[in-house]
Amino acid sequence: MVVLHVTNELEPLKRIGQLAKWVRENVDGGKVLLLGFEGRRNLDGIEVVGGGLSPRVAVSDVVEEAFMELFTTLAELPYKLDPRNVSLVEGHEWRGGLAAYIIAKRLRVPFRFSIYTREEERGGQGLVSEAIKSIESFLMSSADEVFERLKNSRFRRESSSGFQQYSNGGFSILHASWEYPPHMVGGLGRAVTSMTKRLTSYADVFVATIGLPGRVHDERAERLKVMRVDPFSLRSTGLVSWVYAFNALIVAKVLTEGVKPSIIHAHDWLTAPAAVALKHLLRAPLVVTIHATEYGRSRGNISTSMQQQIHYWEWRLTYEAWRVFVCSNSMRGEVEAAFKLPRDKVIVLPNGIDLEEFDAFKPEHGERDNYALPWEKIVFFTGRHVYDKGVDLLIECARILLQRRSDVKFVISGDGPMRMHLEWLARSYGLGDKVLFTGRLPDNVLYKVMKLADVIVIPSRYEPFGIVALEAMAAAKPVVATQIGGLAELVKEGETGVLVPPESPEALAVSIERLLDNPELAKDMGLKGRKRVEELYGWGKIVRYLFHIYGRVLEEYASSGWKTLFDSSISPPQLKH
Amino acid sequence: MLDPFEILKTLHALSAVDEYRAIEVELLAKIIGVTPREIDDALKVLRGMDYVILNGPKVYLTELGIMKISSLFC
Repeated sequence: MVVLHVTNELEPLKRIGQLAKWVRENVDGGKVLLLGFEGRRNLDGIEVVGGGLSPRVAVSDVVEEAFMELFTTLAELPYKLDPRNVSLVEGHEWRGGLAAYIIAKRLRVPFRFSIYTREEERGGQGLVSEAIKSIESFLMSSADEVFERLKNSRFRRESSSGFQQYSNGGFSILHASWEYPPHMVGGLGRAVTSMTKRLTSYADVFVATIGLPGRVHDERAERLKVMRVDPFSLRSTGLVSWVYAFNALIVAKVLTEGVKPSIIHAHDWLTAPAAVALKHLLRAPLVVTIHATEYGRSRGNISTSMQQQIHYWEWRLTYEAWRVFVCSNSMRGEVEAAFKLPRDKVIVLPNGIDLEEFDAFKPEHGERDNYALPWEKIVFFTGRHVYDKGVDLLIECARILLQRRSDVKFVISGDGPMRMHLEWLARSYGLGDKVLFTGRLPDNVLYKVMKLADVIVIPSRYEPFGIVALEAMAAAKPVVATQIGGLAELVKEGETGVLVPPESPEALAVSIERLLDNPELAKDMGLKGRKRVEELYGWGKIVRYLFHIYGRVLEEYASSGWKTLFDSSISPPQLKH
Repeated sequence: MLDPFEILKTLHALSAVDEYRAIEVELLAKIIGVTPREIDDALKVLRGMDYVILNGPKVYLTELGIMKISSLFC
C-alpha cells in the first residue's frame, strides 16, 4: 500500500511554518506531492513530486493563492505522478486537503484528511479565516478518515465512495457553465440551455453547473444530465475565490459521477479552472466558447488582481482549447488580439434563438396596461444594470425625448449593481412616472413585454453579441442599437433597425422618435428582422455546425498520440454519427 | 452611508444564502468593519428591494440577491 501525501510544506524543501516539520516527521515512505514546488526529489527513500509553480498572477489573499496552486497541480499531475499502487491519498492541512480530496476522487481511492491546528484554534477573524474554517469543515465531513495529528485522534467513516464507473462507450459532451436554469444571468445561460438541448439529438450531454439554494439536485432527461454543485458549500473571500471553489466542486462532482466525456466544452472563465483540470485528469479534448472577455469589458486595461486572474484564466482556456468559439466577427478580433490566438483556432458560431419557444409566449388581453397607459408608446430595454449596457445613456435619452413629447413610456427590465443609481437618476430628472423599472423578468414575461413594445433599445458600450437584438427581431420589433461589437453585425442598418454612435443619448432619442413617428417603417423593420432571424439564427443549423466541429476535433484527438500517466484505463471515445 | 452592495458581497462570500446558513448581523458588521447601527440602515434598504431576508438577529441573501451579485460577472 502506497500513501500519497499532499502538502504545501515539507522540511527541508519548502518551509513556511511549523507544518513543514510536522509533515516531514509524519511521512514515512510513500510518495509526497509538494504543492507550489517545481521538480522531483528523493528524500531518504521518499519520492517527492512537485505540483508545479502557479502562474505569476496577482492574487488578493491566501485562499485565492491556494486555489491557483490547486488548479495548477491538477493540470500538471497526470504528467508527473505515476499513480500505480497508490491506495490512499492523505492531505495535510486545508491546502493539501483540498488537492488530496480531488486527487483521491480521480484515483478512486480513499481520502484521509490530516489536520494539525484548526483555523478556529488560531483565532483568525475576517473573510479569509471564515473561508479556511469552512474548507476545513468541508474536508472533515468529506474525508474517509480524519486524523488530528497533534492530538493523535482519528475518526474513520464507513467508506461509501459512491464512485460510478467511467462510461467509455458512447459519444458524450460535457458542458461546463456557471449559468443554467434557474441561475440565468445574461445571454450565456440562454445560449448554453438551447445549445445543450439541441445537442441531445446527436450525443449524450452532461451539464456541470451551479445549483441555487434548495435546488441543488441533479436532473436527468433523455440524453441530458444536469449535474449541479452547491457553490455555497464553501465560504469564500470574494467573488474570485467563490468561482474557484465552485470549480473545485465541479471537478470533484464529475470525477465522482464517473463521467468520461468525449469532449469538454467550457463557457467563459467562470468554468475555466475546472475545464482545464478535467481536460488533463481525464485526457479529453477541450473546446471553449468565449462569450465576453475581461480585456473587452475593461477596454484593454487589466490592472486589479481580479482582472488579472480573469484575464489569465481566459487566456489559459483559449490556450488549452482545441477550438475557440466566439459569437461574432467582432469577438473574433477581440480574442485574437487579447490572447494572441492563431486565426484558424477561432470559429465564429453565433448564438441562436429557439423560435418555437419564443413564439409560444403571447401577451394576454390587458397585459399592456401593466406597463403603460393606452396612449403611451413603449420603449423597452432589457439587460443587466451595469456600465457596459449603457442604461444611464438610455435614461439621459429619456430626459431628452420627454422634453419634446409626453406619449412615451420607457420600460427598463433587469437588475444589477447600478440599479439604485439608475432609479435615482430617473427620479432626479423628474421622470419617475415615465420610466418604469420592472426588475428582473422571467423569460415568459420578458418575451411578452418585448412583443408589446413599440421600439427596443440597446444602448450598450460593450456587446460581444447582443442576444436582446436577436430576441427583438424575433418579436418583429425594430431595434435601435449602438454601432458596436456584435450589434453592428446583427442589426442591418435601415433594414431591421437603426444603428447609432455609442455614448450618444441624443442620437438614441432622434432614432427612437423617428420610429415612433413612422409606425409603417417600424413595422417593416420588425418584419425584416423576423425574417433574418428565421433564416440565419435557428439553433438547429447552428448546433449541426457545432457538432461537425466536434467531429473534426475528435479526429485530431484520435491521431494526436496524447498520453498521460493516469489514463491507462480510459480508451479514446468513438464518434457515433 | 455604507454601500449596500458591500453587504451583499460579504453575505455572498460567507455563504449566507438560506435560513440555515444565515449569519448574525453583529458578526456581519464586525467583518465589514462598521457598527451594527450603520449596517441596520443599509439592511433595511436591501430588504426593501428583496435582496435580503432578516430573520431575528440573522440575515441571508434571497435568490434575487444572489443573482444581483452574479450580474457582476458576465
